[in-house]
Amino acid sequence: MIDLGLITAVLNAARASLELGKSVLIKDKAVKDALRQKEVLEALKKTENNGNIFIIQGNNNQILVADWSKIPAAEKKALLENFSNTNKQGLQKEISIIDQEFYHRVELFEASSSSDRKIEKILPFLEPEFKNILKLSIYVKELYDCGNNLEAAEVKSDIGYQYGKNGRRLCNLYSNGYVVAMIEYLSAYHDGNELKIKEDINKRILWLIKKPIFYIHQRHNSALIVAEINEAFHRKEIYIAIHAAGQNISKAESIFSEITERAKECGYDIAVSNEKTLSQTPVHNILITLKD
Amino acid sequence: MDVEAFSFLEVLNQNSKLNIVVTKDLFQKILEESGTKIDFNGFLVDAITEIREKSNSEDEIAFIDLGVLSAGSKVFIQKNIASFSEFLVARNKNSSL
Repeated sequence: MIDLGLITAVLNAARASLELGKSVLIKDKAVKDALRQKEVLEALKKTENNGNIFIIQGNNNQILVADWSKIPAAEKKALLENFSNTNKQGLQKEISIIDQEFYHRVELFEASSSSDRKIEKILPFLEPEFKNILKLSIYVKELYDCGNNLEAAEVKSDIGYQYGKNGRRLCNLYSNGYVVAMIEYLSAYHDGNELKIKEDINKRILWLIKKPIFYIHQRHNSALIVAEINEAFHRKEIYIAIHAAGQNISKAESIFSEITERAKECGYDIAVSNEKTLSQTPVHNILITLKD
Repeated sequence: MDVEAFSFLEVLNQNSKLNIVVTKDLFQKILEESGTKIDFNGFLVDAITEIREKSNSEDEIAFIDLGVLSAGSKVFIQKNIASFSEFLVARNKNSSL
């Protein structure tokens, strides 16, 4: 519960300094925390100087309050010079002006420590767009894990807004474990050879997004994959693939046995290949293609 | 209640990282003072040339979609975590050069 009375008392104590155009350091933790909430700034806008009061977050999470209308013109100029199109000095300082409605989301994102060891390993190999979508997908998972479903849905929607259908699909593929399964398959398929993985991975991700391609992992729900493959038959997808390596092969085979009959009924050719990598890891590939 | 106050210039000089958190109305005022205005369709334009400003994702940007204005020339970031994340990557890349 935010105590607006307490905030008003603090601002009243600071009034003389604010009137002189000074920035006032807030020491009370409860007030500091409250001031970072968007509802508080909105409430202050109504009661304090017509919305000219603003918050400054400095080093070490220091919070100051100031009144824009009282800051001397020369000092405002010093700030605004950092935002000049011709002045590159701003690069040395990280100064951001943030819409208070967006601030809490920025703070949450910057404080996030989400990571996924398997994804982190391949991030340097990825095209910037895939890299950002996967980083955000890891963040979405963290938010869901923390029970912040609302923000998780917001970030997923942001991914869709920024990257369209491909972004949303890659995020879902990550959430369902298909991206990690693909990385594990590729790692086995290329015997951990990073150069080969690097050459292969962006193309594989694009296919994974665009086509019904399944990298099978023990954790996956077989029934769900069977249903998705049947859907692909129904849509008359011309190319469907199932890949598995090592201990995941038995699961791929069991999925395959459940869709074989339907594939034939729908007019598909099936090619199964069993290979071994240089390190003797078995690799199983099932390619299902629509007959001409 | 004891009050510790600083001039705005001191705050600017003493902090290597600053987030200035403002209401939408104050954001508009600061933009105008920094040479950016809003055109009839709600898009951000350069106050002198009237050319539409672009976001860090290279799209024209409406004021309503503006989340962050970042220093280092003038970077407009949409109110969108995906866009903000792209900005952070670009900034970190620049600062490591």
